[in-house]
Amino acid sequence: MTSAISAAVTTRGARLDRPQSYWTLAARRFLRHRVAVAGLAVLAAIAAMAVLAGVLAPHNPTAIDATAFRAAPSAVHPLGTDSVGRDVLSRLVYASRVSLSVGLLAVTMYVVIGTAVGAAAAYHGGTVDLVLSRLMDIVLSFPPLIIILFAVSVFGRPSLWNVILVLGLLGWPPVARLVRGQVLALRQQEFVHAARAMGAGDVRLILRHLLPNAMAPVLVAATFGTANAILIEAALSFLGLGVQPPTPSWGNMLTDAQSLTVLEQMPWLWVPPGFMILLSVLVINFVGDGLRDALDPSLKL
Amino acid sequence: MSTRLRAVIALALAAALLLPATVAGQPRSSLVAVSGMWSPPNNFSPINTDSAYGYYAVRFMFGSLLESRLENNQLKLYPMLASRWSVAADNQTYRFTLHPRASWHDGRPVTAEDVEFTVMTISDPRTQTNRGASVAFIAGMDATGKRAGGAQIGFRILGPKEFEIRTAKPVDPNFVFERFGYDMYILPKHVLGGVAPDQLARHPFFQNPTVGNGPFKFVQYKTDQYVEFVANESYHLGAPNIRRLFVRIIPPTTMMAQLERRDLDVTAGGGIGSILIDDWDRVKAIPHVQAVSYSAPGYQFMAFNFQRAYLQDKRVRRAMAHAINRPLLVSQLLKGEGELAEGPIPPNNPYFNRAVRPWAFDTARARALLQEAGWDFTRTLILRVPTGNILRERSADVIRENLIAAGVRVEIQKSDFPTHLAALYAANYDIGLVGWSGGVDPDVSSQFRTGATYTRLIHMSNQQIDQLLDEGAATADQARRRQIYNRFQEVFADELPYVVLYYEKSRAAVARRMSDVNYGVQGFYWFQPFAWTAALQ
Repeated sequence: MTSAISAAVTTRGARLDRPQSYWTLAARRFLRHRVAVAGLAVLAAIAAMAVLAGVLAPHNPTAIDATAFRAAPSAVHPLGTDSVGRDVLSRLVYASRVSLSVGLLAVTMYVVIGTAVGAAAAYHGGTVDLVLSRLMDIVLSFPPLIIILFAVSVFGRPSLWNVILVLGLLGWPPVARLVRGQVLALRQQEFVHAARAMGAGDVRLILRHLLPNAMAPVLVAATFGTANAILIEAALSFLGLGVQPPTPSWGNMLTDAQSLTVLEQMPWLWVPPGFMILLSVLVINFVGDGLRDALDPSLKL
Repeated sequence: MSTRLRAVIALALAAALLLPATVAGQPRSSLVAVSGMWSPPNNFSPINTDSAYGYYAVRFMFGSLLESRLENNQLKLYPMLASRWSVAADNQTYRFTLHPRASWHDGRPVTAEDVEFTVMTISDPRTQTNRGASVAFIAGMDATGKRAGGAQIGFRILGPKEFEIRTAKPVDPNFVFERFGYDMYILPKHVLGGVAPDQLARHPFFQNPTVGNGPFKFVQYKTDQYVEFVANESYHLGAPNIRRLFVRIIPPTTMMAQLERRDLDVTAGGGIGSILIDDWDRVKAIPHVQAVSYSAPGYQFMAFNFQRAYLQDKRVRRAMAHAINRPLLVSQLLKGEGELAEGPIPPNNPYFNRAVRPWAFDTARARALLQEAGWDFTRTLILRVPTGNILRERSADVIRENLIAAGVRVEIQKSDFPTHLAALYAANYDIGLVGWSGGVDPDVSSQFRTGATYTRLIHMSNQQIDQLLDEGAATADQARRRQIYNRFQEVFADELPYVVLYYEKSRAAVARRMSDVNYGVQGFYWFQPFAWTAALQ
């Protein structure tokens, strides 16, 4: 991915005779950020777990072991069983699919919307900018949890797709603001004037010249957004309004932990999903930090 | 001046320090007791508070005519405001005599006029009330307990403390004693007599009910925190031993910790202040607490949407009853604190038919029945589950696995309770989980009689069931009634309007320092808090 982009950039800037592209430099800076690299490795492991869930999970995640409700960890159930006798490890492994897909899909959706709206607002300016900016303000003031509760009642049923849809449709204004700011600044640069003088149309100007140069902060925002989406999904599923049972999610696995007795005496019911939420959010934030440092244009090597 | 001011401030501060101490501190005093329930009441109207929480608080301040209690599967009656009661040979005329010393908290006597005022208020079409069922059988009332225009009302005052009611038809006396005697609280005519019935629901008295007739007097309600009561020294059945009583609002998850810390003496029990099943073993192990589980009439059931053609074959419904591992729900989810029965009449009820056994857990039999009924094994049923009751939510996961094992595909849909109920009323479901709790009388017409309020949940109409329910409600002879309801339970198990999943026992806790707090049926105590005593510990 990085090499493809850098290849494109290199081709475009070949005549400037730059030895190394911006993206190659960024990659080098990122690799020097040890915590970020470690975070990326753990994230890759979680992603692999999600993809290979069918192979890794020792049991069917919805199968009930009638002889073992809330059984402590054992050879058969390495992380014990939950309140209706299902294998906690298997559910944990399958649940990573939910968390990662919510994070990735919701964020992809709002990055696309945010980029389009932000670019349009900044490029056209005037009334278009005014209307789109106020729209951002309005959407930004919606409380996402309340909207999701509302959406659930309107759509009639809570589901993974509702959560993704609502997060995707509500999350874009910060991205749009970032893109708008970047494009506003870039619009005045000489290379943009040059491109226009050479006859580039609006679409070509935005897609080829403005957006690629505005993407760095968006990438960073998207990374942090992914962590946030994972947290919101966990909260919703904990409330019973996210992923529907028996599909496991780290959030709905935590619903077992609603009494002092469970908290104190049955840690296998809540420590594993809690730890996975913590771990995934933490490593994504590390990666985000690394990206931010690596892509910061003021740090040139 | 400034010294006096300072003294006043110091006193006020000291008082402010003392006050919360009596509430949140350890109730070690033998004069103070704390009871706990999960949610706050929204008002204290004895005829219209919105929930069992409100009625729990009301019952400390307001009395009913009688106390009823199940003893060895028989309904027993005890005096409360009424000291004597009798029924004439026609099973239609009931006479009550009020206790000579029964009085209001302001010193005025409780009279037959107060009872008449209560009946007339409840039955006024303009009054908002949920006590209609307490008067609906009196002559001159319609089925919802409202006065039919111009009809003669079957209520007669015989003396200052004596009155009689007349029912429209002969009925089982226990039915009248439970609904009219036990379920209805008496209102003070001298306080509320001048209020227009349509203004009553908003009257400030129901936020500040200072004139009651029960063993405790209202002091104050700290919103969402506690209701404070003080003993009624002139209570006609004896002054309470507890001088100050708090009903605190305690979330379910913290009830156990409060018991451990001795901050709580008595849980409200029955669905409004029970011990979480997760905490049950631990509460049983607290040395200074007695954990009490007792049979309760509340049960969970799986409703079928009878508008779906594919659920109308009773073999399909029986197949599902066979498919669900109900013994597992009781032994594992409820940790044994539950009972099974194939119908809406609980096992500890006098009318329970022991001959009707629940359909056994048998996946092979379930599959065979489905095949016999021509079930489409590719069809996916929507199982609607309300959030809130965590045990019910967990049971849904077991039910789904069980049904899948029998060949019925199931997709779970969870929603908040109001949304859930709306979907059920709109017939927008295949199968759905709901809970129910009734009284001692076996009349379950409100659930199963065609056209009644709650049949619209399951969209069912069954002539045979209608006939039996009508016959049962109109029969006064108890032996004959028993036959009718035995038959009803047989028909129910055969037709399966719904599958009763389990009867959950009520799990309550009482500090060992308390005595004479007895648990009974109906979700409430054997409610005689004037007899509660607390020892120093």
